[in-house]
Amino acid sequence: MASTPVSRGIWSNFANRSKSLSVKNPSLQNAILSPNLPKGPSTLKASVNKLKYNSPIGLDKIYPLAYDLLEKRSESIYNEVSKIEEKIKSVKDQSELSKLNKEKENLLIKSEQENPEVVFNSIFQTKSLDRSQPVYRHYLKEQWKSYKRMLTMQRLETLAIIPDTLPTLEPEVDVNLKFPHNNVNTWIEPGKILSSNVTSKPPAFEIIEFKESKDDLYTILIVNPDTPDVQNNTFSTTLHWALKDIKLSNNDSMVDIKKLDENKDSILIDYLPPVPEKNLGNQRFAVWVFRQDGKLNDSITKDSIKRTKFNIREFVAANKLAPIGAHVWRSVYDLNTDNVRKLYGLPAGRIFSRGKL
Amino acid sequence: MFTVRSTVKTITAHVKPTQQLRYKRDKAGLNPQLERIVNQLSVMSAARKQPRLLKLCDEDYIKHRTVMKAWSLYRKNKIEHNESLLEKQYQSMNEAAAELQSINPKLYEIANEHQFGKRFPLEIRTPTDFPPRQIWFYDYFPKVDGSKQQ
Amino acid sequence: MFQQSVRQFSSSAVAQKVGCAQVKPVHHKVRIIKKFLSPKYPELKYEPHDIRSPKYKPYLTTPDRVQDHYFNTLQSDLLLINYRHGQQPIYGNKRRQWDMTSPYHLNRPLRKPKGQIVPSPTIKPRTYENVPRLEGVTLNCFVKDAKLYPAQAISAALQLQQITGCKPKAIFAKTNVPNWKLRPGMKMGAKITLHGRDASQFISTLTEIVLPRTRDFYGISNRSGDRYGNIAFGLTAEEVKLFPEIENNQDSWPQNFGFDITLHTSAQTDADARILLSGLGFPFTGSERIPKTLLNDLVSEEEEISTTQQ
Repeated sequence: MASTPVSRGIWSNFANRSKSLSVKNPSLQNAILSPNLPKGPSTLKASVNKLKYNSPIGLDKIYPLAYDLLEKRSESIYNEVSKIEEKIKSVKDQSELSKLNKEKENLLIKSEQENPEVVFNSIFQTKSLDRSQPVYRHYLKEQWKSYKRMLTMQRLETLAIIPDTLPTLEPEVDVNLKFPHNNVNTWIEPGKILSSNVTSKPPAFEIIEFKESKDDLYTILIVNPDTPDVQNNTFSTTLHWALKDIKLSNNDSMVDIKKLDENKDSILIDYLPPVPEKNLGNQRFAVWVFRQDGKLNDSITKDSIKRTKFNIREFVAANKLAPIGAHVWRSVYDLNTDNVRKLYGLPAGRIFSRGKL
Repeated sequence: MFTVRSTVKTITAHVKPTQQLRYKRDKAGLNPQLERIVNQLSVMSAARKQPRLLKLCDEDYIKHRTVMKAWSLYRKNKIEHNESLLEKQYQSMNEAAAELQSINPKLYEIANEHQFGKRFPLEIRTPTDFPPRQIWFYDYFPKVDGSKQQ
Repeated sequence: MFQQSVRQFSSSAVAQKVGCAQVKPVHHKVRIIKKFLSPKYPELKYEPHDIRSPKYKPYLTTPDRVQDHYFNTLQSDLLLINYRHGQQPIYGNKRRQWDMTSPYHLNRPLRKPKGQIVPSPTIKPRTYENVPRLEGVTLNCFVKDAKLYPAQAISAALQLQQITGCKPKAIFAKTNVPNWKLRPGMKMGAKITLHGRDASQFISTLTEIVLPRTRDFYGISNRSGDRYGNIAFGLTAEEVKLFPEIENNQDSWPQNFGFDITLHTSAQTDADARILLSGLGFPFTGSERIPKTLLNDLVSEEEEISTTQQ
């Protein structure tokens, strides 16, 4: 059956809209922009299923009408956006400006939210979304809220990262973490127990912002609140890695070796791999991500910060850092821990026993 | 609620089965009265009426979602339009009553009496897709005398 | 006094109780839904209106004649009929404050309203926001003989299902009356509450096919109603036979059961509800009694003068 494509209005016009708002695969795009499926269901893998498949009756009749209705609404919203853009040019008051920008972003989300191509991308192609588009950020945030945010907060609570390191967290960004121990691209699930071999080299982060961000500065700290303090019969916090003034944008969100090599000033304290002592159980390693409201004070250098007995609450208050995201993993003594100690030139580990010291 | 097992149990106390149905689950061994009850219960059971889950391919899922969004938007617009019409009607009724009050208080009092006991005429029909066989009753006069119907 | 520390998120319970909290405090404000964290049953995580969900149920699949008639014709007429210029709210009898003569009055639940047990609602002026509409229909079929012949409760339920196309719920006896051999827990019949299209379908069958053909039916009594906009009437077993679902299949229905019908409307008074129902095709008969309080809902002239003078 020959198919005429659905309405070609604002959603097929890429003069002022980003190309990323369309489906990349041409045959898929054709399927979404046609009333029926011209080449059959291309998302079904097995040929048996393809042959067996029938579209719902009447969908090809009603779909072009629905597309047209939503597209026209989107067009009227784009007109409102252009009005707001005019206003933004004339307004100079800072608070008024931010209000207008917020309004504009909401309208931009609303105008593309029901675009079938955008919906397809944000449901089925989540790995390659253009995060500079407000609508994709909106869908990513919804996705994050429905799983990753809950998972992270549950692990932070059950492992008592809050309140043991910082009192609380109101998460704003999605923090992903991976170690370069193998070349497999696996993100670490919060709270996982990792072997010392995995954690022997510094991790890479992905910090996904859901608001518009361009060259914002971030601080990242990795602390271990389970370092034994035998003299005082308690535990103290050790700082394992500290990074400052890391520039990130919506589409440039990775913090890895490559980025750190380019600006070496951002490494405040070098990476110290987790080397838990024998018989001490699991140790928690909390990753905290902070947003800075400007460059960090120059007086804070490698020498001014002590790695052992680090007071993270004091550090955060002194530098006016806002915690926006966190991650956690756990380490335990294993057969490779001594090798890691040798690699980094650390003293031999202590062995704890049940008896009194 | 209405389940075969519980009901047959309670009902067998009143209706004596003609033979033991210890291991038989089919209706063959039941007496006609019990068989009737089992039939009635099976008609009400939801188990057979559950339709199979519709499996759509990704493209059709997106299309279906788009159609549902457009449909809800269409209904929302319609409801809002209806509400705005009602509001306009209310405003103009208000204005007209206020004007009448200032012009002619006596007429206003008559117009502003409560309308309890008023009824839509019984002849009012809910419109149908097709007209009735007899379109119009030309020699019809409504009853006005004190017959029982009001 | 107790001072809430920074790290405490639960507030009043901790402040007022002696001893330790039994629930571990939570240190964040994110609501955690365990269903989403578990990898089990991914299809049950979809919203019920998503077609991928097993809970998905198509809705609004056919046009609704009665609903359309209401919005196209009745609604604006009802607004006009019920409207009175300068209408004032008629305040209901509400629960009263204690006079605090005794220290035990502190934190005691409010006193009963004067002269009644349940407080009565305030009747607001009729505007475009509260035009009465039909909200639902309840069919209640109580079978007296079901205490002797429990199978009759099932037949009654099936009859309701046949008429309405919806699944009924069983109703049970609540009281113990030894003379009638009635004990609590006995299954005594069935009932259904219909909404939306099901209700419209039932009403159109009732007003177009059943009621016009019933003998000796002159209309619903004008005295029927619960004062606040719900009108009820009954159908006998003979009248139930006239439903086309039963009439066309008479052999299968050796016995029929009468039932009570309650028409739930959003009207604030029975008088308003009757006007609405007459538009939906229900005739009314008998003399109507309007409570005196409802008649005086305008600002009286003396009051008006006194307010303008102030």
